[in-house]
Amino acid sequence: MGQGGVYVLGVGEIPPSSSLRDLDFREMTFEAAVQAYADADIDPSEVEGLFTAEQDFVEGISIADEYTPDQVGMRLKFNMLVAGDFLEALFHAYMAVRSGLMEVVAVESHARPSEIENYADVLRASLDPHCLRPILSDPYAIAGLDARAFLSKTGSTTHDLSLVVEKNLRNAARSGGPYGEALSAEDVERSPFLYEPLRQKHVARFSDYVAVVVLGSERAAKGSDRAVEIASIWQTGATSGAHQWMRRWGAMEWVRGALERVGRDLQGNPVRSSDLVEFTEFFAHQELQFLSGLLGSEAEALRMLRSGDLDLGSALPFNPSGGCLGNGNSLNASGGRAFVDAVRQLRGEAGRVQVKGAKAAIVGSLHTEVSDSGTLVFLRTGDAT
Amino acid sequence: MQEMSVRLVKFGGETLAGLESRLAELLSKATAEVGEGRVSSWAKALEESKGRTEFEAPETLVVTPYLLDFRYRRSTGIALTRFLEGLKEGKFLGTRCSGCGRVLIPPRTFCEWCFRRVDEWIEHSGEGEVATYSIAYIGTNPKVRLPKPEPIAVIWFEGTKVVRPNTRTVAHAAGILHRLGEVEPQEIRIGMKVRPVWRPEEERVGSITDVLYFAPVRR
Amino acid sequence: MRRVAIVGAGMTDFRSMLPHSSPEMIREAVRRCLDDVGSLSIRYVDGVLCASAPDAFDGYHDKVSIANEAACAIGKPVTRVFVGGGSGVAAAVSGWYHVASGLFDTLLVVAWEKMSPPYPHAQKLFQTIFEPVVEQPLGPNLIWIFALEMRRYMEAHNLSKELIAEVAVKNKANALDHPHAQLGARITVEDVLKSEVMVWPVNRLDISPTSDGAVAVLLASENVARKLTDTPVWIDGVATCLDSQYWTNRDLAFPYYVYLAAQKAYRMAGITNPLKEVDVWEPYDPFTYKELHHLDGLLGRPGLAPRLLKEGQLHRDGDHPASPSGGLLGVGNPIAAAGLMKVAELYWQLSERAGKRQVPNAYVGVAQAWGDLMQVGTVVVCRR
Repeated sequence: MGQGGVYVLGVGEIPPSSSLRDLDFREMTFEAAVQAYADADIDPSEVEGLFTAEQDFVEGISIADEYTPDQVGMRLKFNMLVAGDFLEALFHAYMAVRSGLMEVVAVESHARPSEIENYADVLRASLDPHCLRPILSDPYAIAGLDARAFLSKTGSTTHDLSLVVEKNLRNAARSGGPYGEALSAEDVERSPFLYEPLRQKHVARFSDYVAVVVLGSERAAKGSDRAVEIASIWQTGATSGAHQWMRRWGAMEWVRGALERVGRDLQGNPVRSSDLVEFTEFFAHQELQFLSGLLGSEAEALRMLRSGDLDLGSALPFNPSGGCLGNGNSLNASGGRAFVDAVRQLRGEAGRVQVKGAKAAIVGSLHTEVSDSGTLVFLRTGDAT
Repeated sequence: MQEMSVRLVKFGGETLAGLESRLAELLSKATAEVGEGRVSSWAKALEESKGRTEFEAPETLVVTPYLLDFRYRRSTGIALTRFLEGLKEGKFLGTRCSGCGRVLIPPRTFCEWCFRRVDEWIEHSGEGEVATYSIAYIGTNPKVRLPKPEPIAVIWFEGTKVVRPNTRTVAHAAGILHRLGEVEPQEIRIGMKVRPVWRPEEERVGSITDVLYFAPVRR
Repeated sequence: MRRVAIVGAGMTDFRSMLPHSSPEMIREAVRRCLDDVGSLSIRYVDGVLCASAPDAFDGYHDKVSIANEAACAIGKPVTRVFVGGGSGVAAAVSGWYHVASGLFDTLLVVAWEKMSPPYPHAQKLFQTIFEPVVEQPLGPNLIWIFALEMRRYMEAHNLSKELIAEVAVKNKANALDHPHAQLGARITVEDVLKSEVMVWPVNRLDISPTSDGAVAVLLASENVARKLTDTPVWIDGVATCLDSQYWTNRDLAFPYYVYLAAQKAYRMAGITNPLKEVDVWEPYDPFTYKELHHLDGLLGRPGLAPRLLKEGQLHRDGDHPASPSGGLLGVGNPIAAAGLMKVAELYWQLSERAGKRQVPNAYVGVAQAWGDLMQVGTVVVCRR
């Protein structure tokens, strides 16, 4: 008991959409939970604990966890809310199962940015009130600073960022993501600057979303031929907090540490063993930063992008689902969408964006759009090495 | 001997879309408040901390006023929308679970006991009893006393209780938080029978406040 | 399961207003914790787990970012758990599975709260805990829900305000022996009854006022723990339990969720008769009646705690000392930090470092916190 593998037994979601008006947050989460339990072929009474990822000011409720248990069938059970993003809650759930405390748990996250009238003010409030908030009317300006640093560090241009957008929107058009469309990099370059060098089309728009995922221990997963293993997962905090003053601009520092740890767990190079990557690229340059972190080389990341090696059907499909650019920025739930998409890939259920023979995937998410902190997961199916 | 001071730094120079003048007014009011009461509290706290040498004490405090203004427009969903529509019509609507048989008010489209969909709607008179009550002497600022003490209660609707014979607590009852009226504080009892007193029809908007309060049933 | 121990603890003073910023408070608590351990550099701490209650108090969104640098978590895992008032003990529960999972050999658990920034008072921010559609339009304040529960509890067991007020007397007196206490004082039952009525039956001295403060606790796996200290305090049982959001449909007389969490934690720790086997109780006491209410849940016997109080058994020299630290009523209530303070108290009590607060022969202790809409129970069972 304990310290064995942790498996994904089932997933449920309401696909991302620009606005979910008819159902309230409880009703939509209930639907996702029903789906997840059916997919896992278990009765909710078998689920011992719930790990949720919510933020008070995204919910408009303080205290967010009050309103979590009922609609997931987890009243009077173990509940832990992680004030962060979906993959962070998954990290907690993973540890709880590995510790032997519980065998079957659920992870849930939802966000409805369509209902937040002034989200920029919410995110701005995550920054230092004395030195940063007064000078930044829009916190996304931090992404602009970071993008500028990335471009100058790597000698790349906004055209590279636009290539990312073109790819992800094209993928989303196939996957059914709400923002999928056929848009050329040139079209992207024509959109107005928002936070120079970031143009409007380089920034993911919002979408409402909910995901419920059921995890189980090795024993709970026995007999299931659809279980996907969470082979390794690691979260790393930022080189900067609310102050951003120690931030290493232009690169995702957190990826290196997480990758090292995951590599040690797997006793191999996770990137070489992956068939695809799903990552929450809230801004186009973040996809390249994450990939650079994975490869240990920005030049290699750019080469892959420019030669089409990140496209569907190529060497390492990156965001075959369309990522956040194609599916929307669902705030703290975005990592859930990336995770569910990756799980579906490994089960061969990804439809028109299926990566053929996908056996292993890397999933990553950022803690928030402007923080240099994130979580990295390595998923694989039973027959992967 | 180091000098201690508390300085007020004005929060300046940024645009707040849409509500600029209203927020500027609120902010200047808050700044004035901070200037009067708060800064002196902070100065006092700073003075007290001086005496404790273990913990490094700051010499100067800079106080930055900041107003959190987050606005949401949230869908009330299926169940609560219908509940509010019912209130507008002067009715208490609830759902009933065919699994456990419970009447659910506030209504929801799922039962959290059975984890199943609930789609049976019922209408309730709104009559019930006081499950528990209290008398409020303050609002949200504990330093300000209300002009008149306000009784509040949890009202459990008649006929909705689920009682287990071997336990002393009630397992479930459909019920809501609301105010009590037409009653003196010292008259209120747990178990007292009450009925809803509605706003006149033309004043109802589809809100929990369409009910003015619950009043004792006096026969 | 891999064994996990508390090997050190540190805290700042709890005060109604600390002139230090949140990162400074956190740093101070962390420094004191590591000084307590003595032989471990921060470089060898594998990660950090934070707890802090509503973001609104600090005036931040996503306030885990406050702790990153202060807790030296740069480049290390750092996440935040948040289950309302239950967060402080939930942090210990979460910390437990971080280490028990095998992923962490050492983990710093940090809880902080800064309730002094909001003006005119933190109270107003609590309005958003209530349901936005059917409750907030009534203009409720936080004390409403406590008063409603207190009234129901009093009715269920025919309790007088005089008896309940003794909890404040006991805890504030206990807190006189706590070096970091905000509210240590010698008061009488009459003082409590004479203090102004806030929301009847709650009087001002029935409540712990707002506070600022931070607490840090270091957890370690068995191997590492034995190298760092010869008085590790083992966390042998952990649990949380969250009840339904529909609190108006529930009977508030008994905290069923505390009872269930405790039962799970006892089973894990191998405790079958808590009344006999537990030497020190640290139940969550934001209000006087709450200590009794929660003890009822921990003991699984509605109405037992007030009887024990009447018999003097809950005093430090009684058979079942409750809140020997002084609790929230005596030490202060910086929400998440207060819960972790109770866990730290178990560490100090069970490793015989509690000074004048020491309960003799303390081998087994239970710390519990509560939160949300009369909803969550978080429990840890510790053993020497």
